[in-house]
Amino acid sequence: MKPDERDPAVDRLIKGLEPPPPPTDLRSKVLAAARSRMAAEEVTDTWSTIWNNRGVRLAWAGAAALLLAGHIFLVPGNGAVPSRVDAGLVAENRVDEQFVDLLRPIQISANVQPIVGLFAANGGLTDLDLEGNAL
Amino acid sequence: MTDEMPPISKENARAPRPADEDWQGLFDALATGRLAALDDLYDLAAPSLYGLALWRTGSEEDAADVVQDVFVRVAEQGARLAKVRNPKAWLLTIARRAAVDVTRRRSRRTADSLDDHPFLTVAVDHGERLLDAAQVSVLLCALPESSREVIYLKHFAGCTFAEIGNIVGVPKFTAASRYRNGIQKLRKLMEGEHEAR
Repeated sequence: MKPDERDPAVDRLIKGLEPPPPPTDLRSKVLAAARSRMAAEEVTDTWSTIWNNRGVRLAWAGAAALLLAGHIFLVPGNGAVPSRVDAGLVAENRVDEQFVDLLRPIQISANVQPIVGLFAANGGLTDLDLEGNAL
Repeated sequence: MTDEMPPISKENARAPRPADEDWQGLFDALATGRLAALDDLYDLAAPSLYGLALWRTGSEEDAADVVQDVFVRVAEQGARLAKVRNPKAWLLTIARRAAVDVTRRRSRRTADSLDDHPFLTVAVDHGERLLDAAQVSVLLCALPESSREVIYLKHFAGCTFAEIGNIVGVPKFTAASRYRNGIQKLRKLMEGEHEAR
């Protein structure tokens, strides 16, 4: 028997025989179901219409490419890359600022001098007026 | 369904046979939305699809469901049908997958009686073979489904082993091997039948 040949014994066995045909009422049933599905498929949503339209797909791809090119070539500025900042230094400066804020005496009034400094310089509170200003 | 639809454009490229042009023409017509082509496609394809489903499921009711399922799926494809290169093999693939699914779902209920729905009937002008049709149906029933469907595709659907491989989802040589194994088993069954007489 050749590679793609039918077995002659089976051919003899099935000679004059055939598979049963589909039931006669199946035709109308199947065609009605297929037609109704086909009609439903025709009413597609907007996004499917856009997706299935080659022209619209190309326009979308062109617009996306144009936006990307515009973003790359038309961004304002000289295009210089900003210098890199040492992250450790930034952190250290922040810590220092926090310490300074913590140690800074609370100023009650804009006219009030730091009491600690005056007290130490003049040897007591007697030289200050009621608002704490130096006399 | 067992899995997704068969690939539309990955089927074997080969020189089209005369009958293939009819199938392709109907698919092209359906792709352009000509509903009347459904009738012609049914007349052309339904006997093969129904036969395959019947040989696979062993149930007339299930085979009818499979044919309906296939045509609904065809209707869903719309313009994509124009891209199908081998419509006949594509339809048989869908039918075979649907039949496998039906067989799995059917496990809870018993199959129909083979006497009611034999695998073969007598062709016109061969009335003398009525008894043979019943006997051969009994022999075919004893074959594994995988062998039976390959024999059907070879002898009644007129497929090549490459096409059968695509339809069944196995390499070409595995399809040929299943066919030969099925034939050998069928011969043994026939010998046993003769000895029993």
